[in-house]
Amino acid sequence: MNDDAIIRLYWNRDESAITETSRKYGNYCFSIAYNILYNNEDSEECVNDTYSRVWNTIPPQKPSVFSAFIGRIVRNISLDRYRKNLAEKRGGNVIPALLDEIGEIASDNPSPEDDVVRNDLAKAINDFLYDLPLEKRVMIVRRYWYADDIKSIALRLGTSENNISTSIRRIRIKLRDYLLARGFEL
Amino acid sequence: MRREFILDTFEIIDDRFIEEAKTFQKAKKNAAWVRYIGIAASVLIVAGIAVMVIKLLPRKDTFTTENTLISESISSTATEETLQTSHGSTNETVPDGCGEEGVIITDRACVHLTGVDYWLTNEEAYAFLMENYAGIKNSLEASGVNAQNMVISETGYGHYRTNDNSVAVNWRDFLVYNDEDLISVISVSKDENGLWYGIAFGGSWYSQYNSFLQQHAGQQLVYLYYGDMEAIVTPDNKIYRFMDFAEFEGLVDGFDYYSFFNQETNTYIPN
Repeated sequence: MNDDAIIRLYWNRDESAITETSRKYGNYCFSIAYNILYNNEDSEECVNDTYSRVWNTIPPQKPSVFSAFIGRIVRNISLDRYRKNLAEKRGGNVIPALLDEIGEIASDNPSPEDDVVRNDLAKAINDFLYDLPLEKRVMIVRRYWYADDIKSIALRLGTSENNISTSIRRIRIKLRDYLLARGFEL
Repeated sequence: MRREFILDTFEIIDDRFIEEAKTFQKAKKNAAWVRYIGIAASVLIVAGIAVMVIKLLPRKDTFTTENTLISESISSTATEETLQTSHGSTNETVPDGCGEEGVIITDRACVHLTGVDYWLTNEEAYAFLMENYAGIKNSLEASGVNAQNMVISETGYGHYRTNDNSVAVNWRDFLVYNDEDLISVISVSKDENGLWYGIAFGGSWYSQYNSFLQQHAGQQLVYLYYGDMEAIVTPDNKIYRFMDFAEFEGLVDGFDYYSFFNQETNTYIPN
């Protein structure tokens, strides 16, 4: 079933919308959640919470790219769950690695962090990504949005893990310089 | 800046990058002989086309007129697929981004019209709703909505999308009233299977929305999505968020949001 048809089911308040969403995007959502949580049970729960949130959000929303819309929700829910797990001293190991890598960009110094800064930062990151060659952009998005491990990215791009690690590190440095040049307090 | 803040901010990157990375899979390299065959075939095709073009080219004394016609044809095609914003095509007056609530202004002046293969005019959408009036009424009443004196707005609207700088032309939202009450929003879409509609009802925010529309009766309202949220821009250049219809604060002084986002397909004039 195509995405328009699935959205139509949500708008009609037809509960088969969730079945169709699960059929088409269940694995996709699970993989995003699992990348973050490394736990089957938690990931399943996050995916189910995602369906519930989508049901409560459409209508009135009408996402233009349904996969990105639902992916964003499951990522958000999974990161929240990760933080909760962290507080309870249990959790996966990818997010700490990602945060370590991003530590090359951010200093953890106090700086304004509100919605205005977030939107400006998102726009700057979008502009930066826009200017990257396709494969480099895919590497960054797979790593920091999908939380993929290096091996998966290497398989997807048909190159070695070493190449991926080196490329991503170079792009991180470029991103840091790009953001600094735009006046962000990193 | 905290690392978590940057990681969280990745969440709101552009949809197209997420979709692109979802499906991207690098093709395996072909064996060398396969590539050489491909190159050889390409050379032959290019040579063939070149011969055809040379044969088809008009003589020099007739070329100018035909060339002008071709230019006009290309120009009119481009106009169908894109629409210039009313503020012009320069970038100097466009801010990079603004708004406490996250309205991000595009830095491109050209608006893409999406869904052009299934262009839906207001007339055909409204006629379709009228054909299905009884079915819609029955559906609403079967769901417990009082639709006894149901009236559907004669005009539907699409939305400007800030994330991909586009207005979709293959769907429109129509408002449904019973006496003075807003009872439903019907979305009419057109795709390869023809026209279809989706009925939304029971929104807790409908009465607020209705009050908002009454306050702005007779005004041309502009509808837009920023990220996944919906908002309305009024002619006095204010932006209101859906659901609670609160006014955005912190917009850029002097920037004409109303003109910038105003496209024919994403406007609505409440009675």
